[in-house]
Amino acid sequence: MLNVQNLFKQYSSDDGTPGGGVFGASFKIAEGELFTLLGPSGCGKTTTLRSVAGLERPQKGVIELARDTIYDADTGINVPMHQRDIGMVFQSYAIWPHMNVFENAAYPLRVNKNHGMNSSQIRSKVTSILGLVGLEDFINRPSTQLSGGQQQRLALARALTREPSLLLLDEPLSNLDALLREQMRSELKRLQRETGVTAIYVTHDQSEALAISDRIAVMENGLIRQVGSPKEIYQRPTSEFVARFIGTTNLFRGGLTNDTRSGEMANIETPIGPILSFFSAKVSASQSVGVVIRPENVEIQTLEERESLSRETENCFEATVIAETYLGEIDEYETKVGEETVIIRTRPGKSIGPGDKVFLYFPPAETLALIEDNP
Amino acid sequence: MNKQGSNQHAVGLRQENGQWNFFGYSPLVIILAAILIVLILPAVIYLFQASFHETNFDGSFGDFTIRYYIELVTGERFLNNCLNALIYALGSAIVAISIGVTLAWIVERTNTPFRHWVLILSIVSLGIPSVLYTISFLMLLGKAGPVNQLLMVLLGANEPILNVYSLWGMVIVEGIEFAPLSFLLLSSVFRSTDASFEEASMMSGANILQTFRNITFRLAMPGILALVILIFIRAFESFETPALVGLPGGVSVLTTDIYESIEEMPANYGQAGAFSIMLLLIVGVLLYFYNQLSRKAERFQTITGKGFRPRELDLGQWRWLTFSILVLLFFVIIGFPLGIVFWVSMVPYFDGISLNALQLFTFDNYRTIARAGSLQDSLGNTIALGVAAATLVAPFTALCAWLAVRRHKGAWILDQFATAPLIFPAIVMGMAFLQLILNLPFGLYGTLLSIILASMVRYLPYGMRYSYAGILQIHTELEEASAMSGARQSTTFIRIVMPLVAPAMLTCWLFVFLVSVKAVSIPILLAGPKSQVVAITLFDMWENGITNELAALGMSWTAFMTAISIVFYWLAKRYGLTLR
Repeated sequence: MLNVQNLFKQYSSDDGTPGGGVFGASFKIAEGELFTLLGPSGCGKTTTLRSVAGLERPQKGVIELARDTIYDADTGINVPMHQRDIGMVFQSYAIWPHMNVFENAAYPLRVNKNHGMNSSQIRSKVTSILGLVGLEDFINRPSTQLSGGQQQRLALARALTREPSLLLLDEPLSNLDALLREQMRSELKRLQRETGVTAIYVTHDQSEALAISDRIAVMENGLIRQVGSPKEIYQRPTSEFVARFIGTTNLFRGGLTNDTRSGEMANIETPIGPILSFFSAKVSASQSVGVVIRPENVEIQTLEERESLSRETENCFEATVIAETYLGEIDEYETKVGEETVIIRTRPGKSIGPGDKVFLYFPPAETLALIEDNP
Repeated sequence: MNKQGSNQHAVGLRQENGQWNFFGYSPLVIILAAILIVLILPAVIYLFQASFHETNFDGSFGDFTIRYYIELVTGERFLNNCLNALIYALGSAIVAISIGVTLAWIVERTNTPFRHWVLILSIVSLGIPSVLYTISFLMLLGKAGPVNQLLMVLLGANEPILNVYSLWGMVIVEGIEFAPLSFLLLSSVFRSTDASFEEASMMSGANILQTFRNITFRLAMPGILALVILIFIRAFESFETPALVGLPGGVSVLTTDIYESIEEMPANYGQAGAFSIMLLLIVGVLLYFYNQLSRKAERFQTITGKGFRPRELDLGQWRWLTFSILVLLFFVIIGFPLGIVFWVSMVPYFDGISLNALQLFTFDNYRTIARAGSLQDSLGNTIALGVAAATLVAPFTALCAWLAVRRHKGAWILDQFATAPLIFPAIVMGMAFLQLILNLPFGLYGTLLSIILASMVRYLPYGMRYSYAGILQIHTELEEASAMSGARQSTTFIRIVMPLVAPAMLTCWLFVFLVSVKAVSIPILLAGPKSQVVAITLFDMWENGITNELAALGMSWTAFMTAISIVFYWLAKRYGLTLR
């Protein structure tokens, strides 16, 4: 459907010093997929999106949309943005203030004549799209009188009227307040499923990305670090950066005594002692490694519980509770094992408080060994 | 802690949060409002009075009459001059906007080389006195000027082709004079329109032309229309160009009517008053429409936060064409006018541009003006005028703006009062203060103080704009934090507000200084022999044909003012205050 190869675009400031951008991104998106570009600000995700849209001209790379090459730096092919079969929702919505709701949504059909629709067909088409996003009661309203959420829906409707083969969404929820954001998030997903449109979604919000995406590409400093389903990204990050960026995680750095193969369990020597860890990739003994475990996967036991329950010997550590944070559906404990801080999340109900001695158990299957990122 | 009850000295007077107030109004608001009323109201009342009374020989009011208005309505002169003013103002606005749109689009939306140097236009034009600028065009386009010289050679004519002393001459001169302002204001229109409006159109499948027609142009339209009205008003109430270009050619407008009625022997203050009131009404109506339109324009220019980014169009090779346009306009607006003034200042007598004249180049004119004692008085007076007006306006408006922005009870009225003089054309303000001063028991007539007072009132609204913008930039919480640290309100103002607003005040000070020394309209009615200012001196020198010394004085003065203007722009840019 969409194929981006070796996309390279570097910005430079006025005096010519090179700045940020995207430095060789490659990915493919399948028909009907919702693909998310996720990363902190300045990671190149928006540049990538705008290059696909044609709003930026990359310096290197190839972009193919539905078997047509729309950009190729080597052959000089660069289909102008208005001839690309792409719809886009802007971060600022860019709802034109001098047109009403209907005219905003109808604009793509007004400026293109090759769809062959007459004006009554356009009317029914636009009306049905506005109905799809829940704006049927606002058709003749001046666009300046819309709330943030309504502007967002209108921007979406406008991007969809042309029935583009690709929909681009540039941080579409970032200007909404928290409650509306969650509501629009599920709405967006529903609309994407219903229309079956292929979409690229740009966001810096990892929970948004996990909730909405079919696949996620995590970006850092202009490079794609990992591509995978939300589950893969969360459970099997391939780098410290991805592990830390997606959700809270505990990380212990250490070293290996022997080479390890992919899929094996092996001990990693860490400051708190050896941790039996799962290896998803081949690692040689000379490399620095770290082991990560999610706070919700750490088991916490009081002294009494430990007496009564079976005692694992491996991956078990004595810890002191430093602080407790009650978050409603979960309890979060900050504990110390020696000098290392370990965060634990558990269902509420345990009678544990600051100062208590507890035991932590890291189930080996829930651990993941990662090669240390370049410092 | 609560001492309210025991501190009640008189009805309505009480202390709250350590601040004295009167029926909930802070005494500061009351005092400032009183000062504003005393400054503005008497002059306005005397202006109205003058138009309804016969004028006695000594300038005081005689019997009540409405004959001036009847004469106005029944005579042909008023209607005829209104028509002149209309054509003149509309023509000037069109010329200024056309140049302004071209410049603003090139500078803000393209990648033309050296485009940012266009700011020089705005800087220098704020430094040139309007009188000198108008005169420079008379030199350029006059009978012996280079334009006529060139045309005569090209067309083989024996006598000058163009007569600049005409309505079209006024339009050209005034239109070009307002081009830098129009550029500056249109730049902000182009700059503040979110480029994603255009990008959304392109992503909807519209090409560049469709996008320009449906989106860019339509979004900029209210802003452009508002500016047409603004420049229309400024031209309509202008005095320099009509007086220097129109009057010699027999073309009168309302502002020159006021001037001529006063200069008559004996002065016809009633007629001048009636003309002033009519001018006031027309400008008032126009300003109302301007405000309506500019509010609409602002709605179209909402900068929508995070996604906002400016956009430059890559013109490719065409950028050298736009570059040539910039160079051409630069010469038309600044290069040629200053060039001819410089030329004239270097020759003993002006007889057209020629190589022979180069041999006559001399600094004698500069030496002459440096020695003339009367000129030194005039320079001293001008600087005193600028410094005094600016020093009065800047802190006063800062205080008013602070009270208004922080919504102290009743402070909105300070904003209203201080902005009200905007509807007074400078010549009307001069006329109003002239009437007030003539009827005062103490001798203010012909003093520098009278010019300072009138200028102060006239430029209050400009000061207000800068101060308001400056205060708006200070987050309320900075002051609240001071209050929570235990500072009283006056301490907060001195220790927190003043230092933070200082750059805005300095910018405001420089702007008021520059505009008050630049103008002719107020001092021409109020100045006496001992209170001459440079603008008037230039005006008189032109009337008396002392052209070469005039040019030398003009060059020196412009250099001095441009230096101040550079400081002003640097400050304004640095502290993010925009000229409006």
